[in-house]
Amino acid sequence: MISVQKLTRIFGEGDDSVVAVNELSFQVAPGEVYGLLGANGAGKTTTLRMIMGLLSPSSGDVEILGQHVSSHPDRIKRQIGLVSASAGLYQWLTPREILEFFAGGYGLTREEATAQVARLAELMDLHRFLDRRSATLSTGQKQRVNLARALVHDPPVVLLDEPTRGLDVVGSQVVFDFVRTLREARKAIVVCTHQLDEAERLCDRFGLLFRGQLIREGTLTELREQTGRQSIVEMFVDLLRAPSKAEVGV
Amino acid sequence: MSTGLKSNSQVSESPKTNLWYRSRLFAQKELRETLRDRRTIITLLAMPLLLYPLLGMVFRFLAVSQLKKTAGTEYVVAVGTEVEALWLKTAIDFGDRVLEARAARAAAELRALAPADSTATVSNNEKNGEKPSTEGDVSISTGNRSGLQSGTVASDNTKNPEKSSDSSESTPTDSESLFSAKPRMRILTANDPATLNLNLSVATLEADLGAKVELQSWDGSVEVMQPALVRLTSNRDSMTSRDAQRYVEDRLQAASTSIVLRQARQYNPGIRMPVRITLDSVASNQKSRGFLGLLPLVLLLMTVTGGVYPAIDLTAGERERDTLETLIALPVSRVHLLLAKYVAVFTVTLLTGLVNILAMTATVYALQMETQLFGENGISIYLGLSLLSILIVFGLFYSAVLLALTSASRSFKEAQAYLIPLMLMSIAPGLVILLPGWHLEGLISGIPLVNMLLLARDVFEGSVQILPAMVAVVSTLFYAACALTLAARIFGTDAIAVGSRGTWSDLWKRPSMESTAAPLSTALFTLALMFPLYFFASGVLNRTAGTAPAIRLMTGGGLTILLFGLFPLAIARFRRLNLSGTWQLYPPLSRIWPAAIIIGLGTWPWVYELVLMTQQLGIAQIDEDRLKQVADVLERWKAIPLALMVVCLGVIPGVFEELFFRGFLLSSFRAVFRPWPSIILCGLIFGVFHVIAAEGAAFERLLPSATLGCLLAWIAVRSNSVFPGMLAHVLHNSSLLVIAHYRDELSSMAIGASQQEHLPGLWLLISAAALLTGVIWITFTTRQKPMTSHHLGDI
Repeated sequence: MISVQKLTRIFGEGDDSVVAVNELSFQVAPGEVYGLLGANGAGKTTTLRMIMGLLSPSSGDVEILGQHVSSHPDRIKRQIGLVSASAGLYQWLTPREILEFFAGGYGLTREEATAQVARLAELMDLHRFLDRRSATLSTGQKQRVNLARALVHDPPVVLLDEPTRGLDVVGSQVVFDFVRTLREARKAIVVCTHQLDEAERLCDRFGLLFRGQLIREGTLTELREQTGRQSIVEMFVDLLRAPSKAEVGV
Repeated sequence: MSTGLKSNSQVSESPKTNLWYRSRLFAQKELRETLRDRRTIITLLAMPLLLYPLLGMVFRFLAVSQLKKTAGTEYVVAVGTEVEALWLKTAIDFGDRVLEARAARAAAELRALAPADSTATVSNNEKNGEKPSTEGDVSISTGNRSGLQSGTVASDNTKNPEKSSDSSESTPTDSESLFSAKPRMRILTANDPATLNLNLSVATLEADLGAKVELQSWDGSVEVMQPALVRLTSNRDSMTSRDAQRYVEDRLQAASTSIVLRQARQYNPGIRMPVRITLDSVASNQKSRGFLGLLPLVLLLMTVTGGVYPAIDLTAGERERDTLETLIALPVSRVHLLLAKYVAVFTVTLLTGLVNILAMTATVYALQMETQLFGENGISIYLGLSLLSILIVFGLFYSAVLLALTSASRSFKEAQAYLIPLMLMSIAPGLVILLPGWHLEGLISGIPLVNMLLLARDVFEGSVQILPAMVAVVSTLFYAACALTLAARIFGTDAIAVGSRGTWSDLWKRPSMESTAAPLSTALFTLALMFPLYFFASGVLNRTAGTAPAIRLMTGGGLTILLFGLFPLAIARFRRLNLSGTWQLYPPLSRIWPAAIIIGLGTWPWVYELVLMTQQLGIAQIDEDRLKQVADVLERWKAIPLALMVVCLGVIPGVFEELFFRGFLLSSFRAVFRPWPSIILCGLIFGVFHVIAAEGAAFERLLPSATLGCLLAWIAVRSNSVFPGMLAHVLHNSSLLVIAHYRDELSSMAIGASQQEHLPGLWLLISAAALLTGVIWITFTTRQKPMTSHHLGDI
């Protein structure tokens, strides 16, 4: 469903240029949760933005449901739901108004938007604060609204960028439940995180990003076989200690 | 958690709602977010509601304190003895009465002699507290006075003037009017005249004026006043002292002259003063503006202040609150998102403008300052509507400028850093308009901001001239389009939206792929640049009025090629636009040519009739001067070879205007809009260009030019080519030129029509038949031709 092909993004020019993402390729199938893991600055968010069409790649392309992002950016946007921990809410609007606005923005009619908001309120347990001004919501409540917003047009692809950042245990559990729900609904899911232990619980397959490059990829079992390490945290520690990719055997 | 989600669904590729619904939705969200923010409400409501009453009170306080200052002035005069004090008081009182009588006589003479408007001037002067001066009767000498006797001011022998009826003071004679109030006099005498030092008293400002009166003998009677030598000592560093000297000197001179004259008449009753001067004054052509001059600036600045916060909040604020990313993740173009924000910023700006007008009106009404500020008519509905119209245009412009700047900002602070210089820069033109000699005319009417401030000032003064006002409005709207296009290019770009390391220069990078038509933003940007360029080029052309007509014609032709041909071409090359697609340089069906010829030759009579109709409906009038100008131009052109005229005024405009309007612009519009809106928009822009940019711009050209523009656009759409319209345009222009060239010959053959008369019915019938034939021909010959992919809908 998602096919990333040799995606590269270079910021700046000449001596000041920085290769944020370097020839990154991976695929995600329907019902699969793909964990794009890496330290801060590894290129995870840049990759997600290129998949969304928010950032144009320097080279390479992304194909979603058989369509290229560069050729049909608006059609691709309609197929994707984005959850970002850093995303804010419009503080003067209520969750209901925000959700209905985004539903309309994705092309849903007023009736469809109302019905979908009711469904999501049920799914994400938003009823208690659906008509309260967003500025008065707690962090966890805001994150619930954010998750609901990503599904307001019921997209086949969902991208989650650091979805549990800043959340407590209960809030994080809501996100885990959310991802499981999406997997059950056969959505193609990409989760970017540096919370490696969480990723182990959430994801089916992993891509380990280091300085914009995909260093390792596979299921947890495959990665254990490749590295001889039991946990992803240990794999990453090895990765960070190695001065160059040559030393990690890529 | 129950899912409620569809399994692995694919969302439909196109939205189920139309563009209008989504536009409304976006604008509604932006407005809702903005109007709920209390900071918006503060600038929208609280500021105007506080500022205008405050300004009104300050204005009133200043005016009243100024009057009180005049009324409350007290001159302290030091003299040596009580006899001197008494003589001085008597002489000043007498001189005062002489001056008052003289002023009354002069006013009566002026009323009797002067025409009505001069009488009004006198009345105004009186109303403003300026009594007609009598300086003309006396010669006042100034300079240092020396040789005063020494002494000290020892005591004030006068009683409190407010409690004493016999104190040595002159009190206001007209207590009803503060304007006519006179200063009071307080005369101090020395206990010991021998020790009095007048110089020291005045130098230390113990007294405003020192007076030494040398009397031979005096019985206290004015009638038999003995000659006296009066020495007045003033402090040249003190304005009050100088005023006191002048005040006393005026009255002593008046008294002296009156006594001399009276004495002379005892010997010769018919004797008159050899020179009598009556002073009159009239208002200057430049109206005194004062506080009124600042009103446009206050009003416009206050209005745009309302838009500042929403502009920052809806752009840089989105970025700072991390809501921008999810917004631009929507499948909606950035232009669309920005337009919704523009609607919100403009709405708040307009609401602020409305509140400002209301607050201003209420303040002026409450403080009863209508006539003082706006003349006898006070604030009328017409004035209110005119101001509102200006605020709308100004709001459209300023909202776009604000968005262009704030769209480039990543944070509130950065946006504020951009806007502070803008606000300061906006004050400068406001102060410029207070200077004499700045009128809404010529090139000034094309200068952004200055033109609207001048227009607002003219509205306040009730002296609006239509044409410069139109130039100001249209140019401002074009600048608004320019700023909005820039904002659209900046808003949500990589560098701004996701904080990448992109720079401003990224915005001007050439696209990597070729386009078949100019994107709408590029077309509007070109148009926005084109308008002022063409306007200024027309100004340059008008400055060549003294040169040979042929040279002028060729210069005009060259400018047309430059502006409508080369300028869009440069933009097209830079933006990698496909030349054939952008200019619709496709070969048309050969059977369409005859129709183009028929329409080209047959349209002019109806275009002429539309001009007449415009005049008869009162939409525009051609005055005698303009008719004479046209006749002069036609006469001069008779000396130019017809072929040159046809090339410069027929072929060049026909070819290059078609390339720009029906090629560059129309192809861009058609890629976005349905055909009919594209045609009408294209025609209207064509019409506006002909009104504003032409030599001796005139409204009567709007309707015919816009109609012709629509017709030519329709031909371009039907034929999918710019060439048939080009031929029709060239033929239309050329046929008019040929008729103008041979108009005398045609008149002598009893063919033709004089200015401002309808054409013969037969001509109109033939023309109508030609037009109809051409339109039907094109309709039928192009019916089977398939439209290209981006040409939506039926036409």
